[in-house]
Amino acid sequence: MKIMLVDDSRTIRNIEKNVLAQLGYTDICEAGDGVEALKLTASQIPDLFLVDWNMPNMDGLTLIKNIRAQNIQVPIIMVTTEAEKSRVIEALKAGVNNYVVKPFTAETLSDKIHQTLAKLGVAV
Amino acid sequence: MVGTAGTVNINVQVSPDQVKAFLVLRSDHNYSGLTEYDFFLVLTQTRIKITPSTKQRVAKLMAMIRDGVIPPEPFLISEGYPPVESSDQEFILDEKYSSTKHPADDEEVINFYEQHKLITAEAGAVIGTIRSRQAGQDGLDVYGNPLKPKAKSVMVRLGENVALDPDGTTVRATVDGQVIFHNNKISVRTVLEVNGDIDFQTGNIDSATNVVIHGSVRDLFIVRGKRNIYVKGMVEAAYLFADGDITLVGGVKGREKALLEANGNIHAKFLNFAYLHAGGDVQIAKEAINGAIICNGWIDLSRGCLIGGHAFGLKGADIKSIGSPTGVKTVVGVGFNPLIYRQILQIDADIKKDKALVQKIRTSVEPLMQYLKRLTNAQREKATELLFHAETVENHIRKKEEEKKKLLASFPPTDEVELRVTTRIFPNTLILIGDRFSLIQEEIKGPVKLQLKQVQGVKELVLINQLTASIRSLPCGHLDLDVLDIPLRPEIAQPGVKSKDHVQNN
Repeated sequence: MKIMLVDDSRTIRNIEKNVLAQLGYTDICEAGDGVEALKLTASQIPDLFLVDWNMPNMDGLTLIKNIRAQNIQVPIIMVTTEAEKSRVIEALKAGVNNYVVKPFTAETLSDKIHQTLAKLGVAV
Repeated sequence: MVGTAGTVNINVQVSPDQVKAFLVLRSDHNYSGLTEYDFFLVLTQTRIKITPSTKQRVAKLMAMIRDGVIPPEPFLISEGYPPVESSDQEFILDEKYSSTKHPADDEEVINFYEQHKLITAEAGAVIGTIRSRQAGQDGLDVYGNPLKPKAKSVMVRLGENVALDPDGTTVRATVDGQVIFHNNKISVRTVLEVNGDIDFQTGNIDSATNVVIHGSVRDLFIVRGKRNIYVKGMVEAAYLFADGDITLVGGVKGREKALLEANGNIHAKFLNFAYLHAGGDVQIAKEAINGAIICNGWIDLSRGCLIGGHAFGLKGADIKSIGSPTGVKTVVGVGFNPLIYRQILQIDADIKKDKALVQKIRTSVEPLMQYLKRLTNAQREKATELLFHAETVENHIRKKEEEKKKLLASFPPTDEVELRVTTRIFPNTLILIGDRFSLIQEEIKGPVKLQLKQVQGVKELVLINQLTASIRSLPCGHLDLDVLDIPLRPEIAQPGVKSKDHVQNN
């Protein structure tokens, strides 16, 4: 399974990568903002996105709207510091499948990945 | 031989191999009346075969005579050719056993210690090849007769423990052993036996089999054996490595350079300024002075004394006396391998440092977590990073603890190890048992036994008098990196030879 991590913080991407590695996922690609993520998606669509909200050039919400507009239906988990209920609803409306609020622990992130994939019938 | 041309006698000389014939003309004779025919007649009289080249030579001689020149030296008049000799069967040693090295350029340093003169091979290894006998070719003498090459009959013979491959030329060892080629016989002996010393006559030894040295091992030479090494003489500041045992009828005068490592046991009469590391037991018959002994079995010095230096026996030690009346610092440890113990202590130090770091992170992040909603986005990002850093460090601590557990599992239970001393322990002796140490301040008379025991729920280092069975606790401390004093393993000092660990599970 190919997973794309979209976050402007390299440290957060490394953290996510470590959690995914513990879950057995090693086929990972990374993007530092929404524009870079769209470019990568044009050549190969991943099986799962982990997307931050606040990023330079193109934020996560815009990225998600773009992805869904292209009729790409792969699961997306938003990993963000935006904890307001209204923001969560906004993201879900844009097409997010699950939502992780920073700061999170490895356990929380892996639970959310499991939940998302299980809901969509993807074996983990 | 003499031939007659007209009224003139002409000497004909034939070389001993009968390949050349000469005419000898005298300066006081007049040959001007002779014709080519006269010379052919002389050659016919002396049975020299007349070939086209002979005719050319006669013509040349006639021209000289016509010019009034008499050759002062015998004149080559006819020439055959010698036979090509046949060659003997020959044994060509495989390249990898060819040890004589020559410098590739002026800069290259040749290590003369590494010029192995004694060769061993492992079972199945190609030792060399037999080069077949080459047939010779006939020659031709001046009379036109064939010259036969000399008959040769030297054949390479196969001796014990070697086999010839189906190709008929490749020779292999059938056992591990010393390769011997003597009197055209190739064989492999299961013991590499050196009648004299290990020195520049022999070079270093790297043996696939047992090694028996009837002499001594001289300074800086290396003896490596895939089985046992047995030395009847002395070991100087040399290096011995055996996959099996090392047995020295003499002792080691190491001058702080000697290094002996065996996966099995090491036995010696005495030990002087040398480093020993054994996978099994170490037995020294007389004394060990300022040496370093590390073994995974027992140290048996029950009839000898340990003066100065270090001795560590994983399973225990039996020593006649430790230290000296002058208070030479002597360290004896049982129940652990100091090299592994040093790793454990280092792990402990790392864990302590990591735990302090985790504590610091958690202390700084946890108050923030109680007021999550008040955190800015940047603070939330930072908190995530810190929490993960703490988790990573905790994982690291868990791995280190596992590693420590595995290392500790290689030690015997501390209540099963003991240090026995028959006569006395002198002051300034440091005793290490398990994770405790005690510095002996006053002389202790034997026979005594030192062990770790639980006394009223507290682990103590106790001294048991074996005559009276009285037990007393010795003042002891917890062993740490500052106390654990491990001798340094000497480096191999031969030019161009790198040091490498030999004993496994260091």
